[in-house]
Amino acid sequence: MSARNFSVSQDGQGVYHLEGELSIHELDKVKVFLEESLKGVGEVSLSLAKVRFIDTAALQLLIAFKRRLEPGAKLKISSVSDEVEDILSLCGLKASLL
Amino acid sequence: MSGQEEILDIFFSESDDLLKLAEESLLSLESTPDSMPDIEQLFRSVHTIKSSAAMVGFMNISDYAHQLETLMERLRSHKLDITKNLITTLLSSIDFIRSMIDRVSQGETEAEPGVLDEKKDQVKRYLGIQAMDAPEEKSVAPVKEAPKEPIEKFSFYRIDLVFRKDLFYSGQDPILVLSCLSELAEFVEVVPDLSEFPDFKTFCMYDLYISWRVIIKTKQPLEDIEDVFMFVKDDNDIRIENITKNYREGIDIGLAEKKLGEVLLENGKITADVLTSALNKQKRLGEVLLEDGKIEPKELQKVLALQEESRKVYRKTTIRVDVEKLDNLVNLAEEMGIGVSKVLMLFEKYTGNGKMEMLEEVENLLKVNREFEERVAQVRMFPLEGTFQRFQRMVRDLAFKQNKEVKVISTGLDTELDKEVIEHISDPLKHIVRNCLDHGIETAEERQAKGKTPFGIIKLKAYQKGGSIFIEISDDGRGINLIDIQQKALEKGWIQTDQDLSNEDLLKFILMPGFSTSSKITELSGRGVGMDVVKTQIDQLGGTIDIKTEKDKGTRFTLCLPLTFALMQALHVMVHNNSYMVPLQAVLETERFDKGLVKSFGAEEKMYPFQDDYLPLIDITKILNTGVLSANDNTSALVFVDTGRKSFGIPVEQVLEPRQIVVKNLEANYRPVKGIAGASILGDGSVSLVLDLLGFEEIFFQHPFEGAG
Repeated sequence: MSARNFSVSQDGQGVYHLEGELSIHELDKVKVFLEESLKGVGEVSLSLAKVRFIDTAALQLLIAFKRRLEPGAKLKISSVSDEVEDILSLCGLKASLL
Repeated sequence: MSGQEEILDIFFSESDDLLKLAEESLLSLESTPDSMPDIEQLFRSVHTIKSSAAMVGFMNISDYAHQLETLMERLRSHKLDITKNLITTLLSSIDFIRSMIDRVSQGETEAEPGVLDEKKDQVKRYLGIQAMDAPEEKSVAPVKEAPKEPIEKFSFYRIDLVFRKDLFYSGQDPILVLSCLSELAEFVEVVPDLSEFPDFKTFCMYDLYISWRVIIKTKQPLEDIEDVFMFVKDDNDIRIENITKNYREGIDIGLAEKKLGEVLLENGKITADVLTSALNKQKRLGEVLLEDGKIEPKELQKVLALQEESRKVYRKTTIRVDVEKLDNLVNLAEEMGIGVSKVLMLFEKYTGNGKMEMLEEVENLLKVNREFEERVAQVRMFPLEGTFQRFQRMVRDLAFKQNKEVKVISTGLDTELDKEVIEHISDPLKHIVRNCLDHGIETAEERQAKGKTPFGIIKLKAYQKGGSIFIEISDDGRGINLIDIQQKALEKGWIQTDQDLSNEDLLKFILMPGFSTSSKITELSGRGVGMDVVKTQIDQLGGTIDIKTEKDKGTRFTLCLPLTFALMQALHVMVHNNSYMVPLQAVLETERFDKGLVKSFGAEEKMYPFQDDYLPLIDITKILNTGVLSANDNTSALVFVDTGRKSFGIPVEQVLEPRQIVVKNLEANYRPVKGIAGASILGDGSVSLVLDLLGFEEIFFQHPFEGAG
């Protein structure tokens, strides 16, 4: 809905840095971003190191992309913040995402 | 039976089994102290007793079992070594639990307070000793033995969270729910289930596809846990189950019995497809052996077929049924039989149409009914396993006390006997086994001096032959000294100095009242009572005892027992218009009576030629004192019987057909009568007495002219 909570930037190594809160309200944006960035590329790296919160819907979306791409192209999550780490262990989805 | 009574009943019978299991594992641990399966079985048995005792409110039993469990936990984690003394203590603890259960079943308190404390202290000593032996190592864990701080405060719950697909629309999120839950409880396990996750094309990002299974450990009350789900519980499938009993120290004991594949699948580490394909890659042992040419295909097939058959049998389940219910069935079946017989008799008088068909049908019914009676009687049969097992324990304890080493080898554990017979032979068997151990088996030194193995062997063997069960108890000890017996018999004035007796005859003296050759008197046998009591008990069951002995080779006692009390093949005879049943097993022959062949000795004793011998004739009416004067003798036939010890003839007026009868206990319905084994109800509703031939023989040969009174 609003861009206030969430933003994306890309660094020199081509890693996309997601920032803010990754929630159901941003799903459209995240989806478009993922589809665009994955076009014609073998591997996409995402960093969630600056993500303060992620909800179930957003996790599902990432998992869905990850699953679609395997085994050919790869969605790689290079790092996560402590908050995301906690959430992942809370819901047991770490193995499905990382 | 009320619900509570039923639960108690289940508790009593279950704990009996559990205690036996525990005892079994302890005995086996004595020879193989490292056997983990035995330690586990021991642990499980005690653990189950603990929980079920608590469930029925016997807190002292539960507390005590809890303490034992703590001790056994030490065994499991190898913090405590298994020694002979420890096993002795644990065996006596099992006995103590048994005694507490016995007491409560009689409506008493579990134990005298002093006794309970003393027993608890005994267990505590083991816990204490160990604490000193193993100082700092893992000093965090063994706080457990202080029972004042019950770790049971923690409960484990399994929570299944299956949300609606459109959960997100209501503003809810599983992560928030889990987060709330994590504030109240420690997560032991969180397993997301992604099996509903669609492929990318059908994936809708506003739908929820994941469900969860969470196992938590908490001290919070269940209501508080339930409150977490307050806002989601109505529309979603949330299930909370208390699984504390499955968890010990955070370890899911259920895992032990599961296959690796199942566990991986449940934890979502692999999918069902992956598992199946992996399993398909796995070769079976048989295939590998075949490929390597180690076994012929035919042989393999044969073994596999046998295995499959055995598994089928193994899978047969058992249920527990009150004997009373079975007896009711037997009675009903019998009454049904009587009813059908009456109908049959009515039809025989009937002269209308279709008589033959009707008769045929009724006769069929009668046949079915007879089979039904037999089947029900078979249900009362039990294997001897439990009985033999008890001896293992007894021998172990006694041998320990006498400083002897004894191994017990049991065979034929699955031989089945009527429950009632089993109950009655338990004591006599016990006595014989004690005798083997006390008088038969020598000490290790003595044995070695004779060139024998240091440990003695007591063999228990059971098998069925014909309508009887044979139980052999043998030892490889010093044998019975026949010269001692002869001397004793002389002292007692039972024989004369010049009397020449066979070994068999001499051995029979052991079974006489007041006989005991043992110079040492032990705690349990050798008090001069014993073998004669054994004999009486076996006699009462309609069984026999045979003894064989050889110097320094050992002694063997063979008991021959009837398979069951309830059913019997019997010959139906009439004497003075009374009907009697003669157990068919004992019948040698029936013969037409020829008065001219009778040889009389004095006024009462009569002999009759049978084969190459003269046998005494025993008059039923005199033995049973039926009050009928046998002045006008209508004897038309003789039934010759062999009790295993003596043969004799019984004069009868009429011999009817042999038949299968259900024997009713006279003791239960009237009072015991010597010479009568029971009664049976005939098709026309009349009663027929079943003769107890051993009793007959005793009455006749000991007091030939007195009768039973």
